[in-house]
Amino acid sequence: MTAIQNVEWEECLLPVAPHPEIEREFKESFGRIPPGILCVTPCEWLAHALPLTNHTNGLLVHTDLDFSELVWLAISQDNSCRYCYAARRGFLRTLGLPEARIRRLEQESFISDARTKEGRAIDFARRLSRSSPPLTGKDRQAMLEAGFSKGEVSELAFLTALIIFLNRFSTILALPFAPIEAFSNRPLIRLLRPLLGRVLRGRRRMGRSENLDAHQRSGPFSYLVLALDGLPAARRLRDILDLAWASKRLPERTRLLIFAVVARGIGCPLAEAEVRRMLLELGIEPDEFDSILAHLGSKDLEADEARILPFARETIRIEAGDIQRKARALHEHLDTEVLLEVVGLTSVANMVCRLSVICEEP
Amino acid sequence: MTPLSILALATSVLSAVLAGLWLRSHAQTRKLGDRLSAAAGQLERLQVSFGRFAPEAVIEEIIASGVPTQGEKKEVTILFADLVGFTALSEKVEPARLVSILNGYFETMAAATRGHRGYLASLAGDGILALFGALEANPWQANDAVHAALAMRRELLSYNDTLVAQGLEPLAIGIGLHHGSGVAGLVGSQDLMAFTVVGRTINLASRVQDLTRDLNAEIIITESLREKIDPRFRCHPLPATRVKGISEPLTIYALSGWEGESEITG
Repeated sequence: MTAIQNVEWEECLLPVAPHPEIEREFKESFGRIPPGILCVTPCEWLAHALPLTNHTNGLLVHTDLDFSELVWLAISQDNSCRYCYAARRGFLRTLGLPEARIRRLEQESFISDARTKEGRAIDFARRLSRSSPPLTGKDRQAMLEAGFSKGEVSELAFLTALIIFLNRFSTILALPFAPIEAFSNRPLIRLLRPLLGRVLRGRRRMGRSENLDAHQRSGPFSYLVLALDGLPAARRLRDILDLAWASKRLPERTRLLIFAVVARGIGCPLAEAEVRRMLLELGIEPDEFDSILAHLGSKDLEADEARILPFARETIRIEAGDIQRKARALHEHLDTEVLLEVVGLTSVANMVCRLSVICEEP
Repeated sequence: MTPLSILALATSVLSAVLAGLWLRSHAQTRKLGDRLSAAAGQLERLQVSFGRFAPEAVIEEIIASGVPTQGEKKEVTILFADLVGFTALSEKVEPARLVSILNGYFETMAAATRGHRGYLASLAGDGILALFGALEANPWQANDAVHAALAMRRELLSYNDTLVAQGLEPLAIGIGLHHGSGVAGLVGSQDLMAFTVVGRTINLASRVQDLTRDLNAEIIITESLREKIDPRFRCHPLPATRVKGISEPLTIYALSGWEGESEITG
């Protein structure tokens, strides 16, 4: 039994909320509706962002699809995300991988051999996920010197950041993993596995280099998007950020403060500077910004902000049971739509603030 | 026997031997695989368990390189706590009960520390050393440490209710806190090693904790910590005091609470 199977996991925080349009989108992207995922539909931008996280439909140019599954297992395991881990495992079983092979993959992802290229990549992904300390340009340079191309490193960093985004909100909401584990063990699924595996393999495809359109070269965190230009990852990141920014459920100031807290907590000066710039444009005084960030609180904060900002901090390094209980406590003060907005934004912030390694100078 | 039948027999025997060898090899490979799986699982669980004693990055470095990690200079906040009245209690209560009381106290204080992102670095006698910002960078470590001190004070009041109900005297606590730079790492010898911070900052924090008895203040913080914490913490200045090893008198404050909460006395 692996350690992740001992990770505490509460009941799913929210009930499933059917939404025909979003369900169609999930089926088109994932082939089916992942269990529990419909609890996010009250936050439409978050629901629309999820298909953008599919890494098997032309996202990856340099990263082998089978290797990407190893990265997924390693990072989900590291983040103790039972949902994402079960999802990946289930996917691998449906692809036709024998249980023994999957167990070997789990071991390889846990004990990465830094002497191999794959091992170095897993190590880089893991350290990026933990960001303790945050990765810098020196770490990127070390990967380049080890034989990775700029595109490989950027893509690996983006894939890791994407996994973190999914791990975060799946864990915070305590999405149910048991149905995923049960699904791949159903007798009918086991019988149809060879056929399903062939279909799934047929749907997987690598991506091709592509450049951003002119209108995609600006917007929040454009420095990150531009650093990924040339890869399909750039467009995906832009789309996810634009979806999050289009939502008006929370005041712009609160949204930016969430990003500021996560940037400060992780230790990402680029992200913090970007958010500071946007907050100053919004009219917040520099002293007020510094005070709020220094103490995660201020007499000038709205009641909801005073609860949301400390919660944003909690999402930086999480223990599953603990963050799930904190989310439940926050839900007593915020309605479902606002809670989902907070969960979505903190998950995006954790993704974005770890990704800055692709921009930093050595 | 005809040559053909001899050949057939030989082929059968050879096939049987090869099949037997293959089966044996397959069984051995599977056994090795199972052992490897079990070992990997044990290593994972061991790593998780060791997380209580040292930071994850330190454990991984030990696994990878087999040697203790280098020290690292960090900004840290140090909390020293000591029980008042424990010596008197130890003379009245039989040993088993004393240990039980002490352990109950430590569990309570550990929970208060952990709940505010502190790392319980050591327990010595009835003393506690907690570190904030030593394992992972924590830009809010100063506030966390002070909140932890207030939580420890609150939890002790609650624990005292239990003791009084058992006919025992309540305990009191003296907590000293300081913020500064120190070298964090695994310190010790082959026989005993612990993750801690060394340097002037930790020495000064210990001296500040000693002052709680002399100055009759439950929680004392230094100026360098007060400059970092939320202005909504309530503190009042104490007389500048000389401590061993520091040439200038120390500017210190008694912490009385948090805005909106009732004052703590003592």
